[in-house]
Amino acid sequence: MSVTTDAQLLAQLRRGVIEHCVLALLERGPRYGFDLVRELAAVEGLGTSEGTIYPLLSRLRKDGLLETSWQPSDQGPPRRYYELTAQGRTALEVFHRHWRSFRAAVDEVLEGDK
Amino acid sequence: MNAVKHSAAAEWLARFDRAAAALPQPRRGELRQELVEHLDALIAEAASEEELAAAVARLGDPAETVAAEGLPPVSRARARAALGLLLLPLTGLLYLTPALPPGLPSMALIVLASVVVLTLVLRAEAAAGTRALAVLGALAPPLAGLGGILDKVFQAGHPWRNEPDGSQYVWASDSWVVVLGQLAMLLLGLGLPVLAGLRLRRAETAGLSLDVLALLLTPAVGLATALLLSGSRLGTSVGTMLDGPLLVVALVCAATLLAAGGLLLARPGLAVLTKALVLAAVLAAPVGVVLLAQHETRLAGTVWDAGAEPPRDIAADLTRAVPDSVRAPAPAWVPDDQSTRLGLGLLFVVVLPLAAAWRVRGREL
Repeated sequence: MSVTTDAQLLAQLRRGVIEHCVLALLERGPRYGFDLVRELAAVEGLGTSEGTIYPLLSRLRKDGLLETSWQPSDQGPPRRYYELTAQGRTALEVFHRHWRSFRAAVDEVLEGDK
Repeated sequence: MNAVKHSAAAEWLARFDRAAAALPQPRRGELRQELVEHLDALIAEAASEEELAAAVARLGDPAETVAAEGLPPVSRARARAALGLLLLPLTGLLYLTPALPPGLPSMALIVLASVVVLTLVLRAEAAAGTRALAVLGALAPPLAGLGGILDKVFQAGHPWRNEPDGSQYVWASDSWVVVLGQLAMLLLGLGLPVLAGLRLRRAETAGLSLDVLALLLTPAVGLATALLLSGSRLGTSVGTMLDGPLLVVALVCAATLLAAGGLLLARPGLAVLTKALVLAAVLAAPVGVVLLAQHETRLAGTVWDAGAEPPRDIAADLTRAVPDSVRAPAPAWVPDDQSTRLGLGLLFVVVLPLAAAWRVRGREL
């Protein structure tokens, strides 16, 4: 078995959850893409650069979990807003359910008899 | 100032453009638009150049952005091979030198360029279909150029046939086959390397299988083969010498197509109609090449002694039917009518293979 570096390990963990983190941020309401990307990239520990979030948003949009709309802005040209679809909401609920039990299971294994 | 004009943002975008060459359009354009919007917002918000530089840095390496699209990166060896293929058609300019056929130095340069690109292709990693396309792309310019030169030599020397009544006939390759065959060679020589280069520049997504590639190339290869086979049998000395080798090449092409058809028929998941179309395409294409390779017989004019009266109404000759006795020989099963031969030939060589490839690709995607 090959040894996984810190960066590889983080990348593997991130791959499994990052999409649902985006959905979770949008659960609170439609967000301007720029703000959404900055907020997500600024979350400690996720280790995501702003540039890599746009491909992710596109994938979620293609899968029907997000939709975008243009809204006028006081500070310049119209802005692209991202919003959760009904399908996205369902996907997030399912993730929430599985995540809790998954996290508990991993914690149990990691903690052992401590 | 916007992202395109601001130096730090423009530089990041330029790096992105280079890294994103692997992405298919229109996705590349969409992603770029989103990133431009993001950079514009950064510029509007930044209070100083330092702040903006830090904000651009937070975007990360453009290669990471492209990698997040889920495509594997294109290796340097593969990018070099792709560049070689894209530049290879420039050797076509050497065919425009005043001497025809091109002189030895020009031909040596063309072959050398092809060999160098072929080496680069063989050293680059790619799926079987992409690699086969790239190998063919590397070989296509000199082969198509040679085919074009041979065709010129074949067509230049065909013999005349004089009848006792003064009529003069000539056997020649079908005019449409000449036009389409030369166009096919031009497309193969210039287009195939470019197509292969563009495909190699992109990371593998849905692979192009070898069997589908064979079907897709059948129209161009079939038309070029028909033209060369037809030309080589016009009775010139070069044609007589090359008739056998060209026939062998044609048989190898037919065998390759039949093998590709066999692979497709054995592939699970294809509809019966698609399999029937594939079978019809691979069996009919060689027949189509034979139909297209037949000669047409044209009335070339009337001969009479200098100073004497013309033997008959010359103007009426234009509407006169070609007598069977002077008609170019053809297998018994080949229709006499030239239009029928051309129509069936194009159906078998062009339409059926493309339809079969379209059906199979539709299933793959």
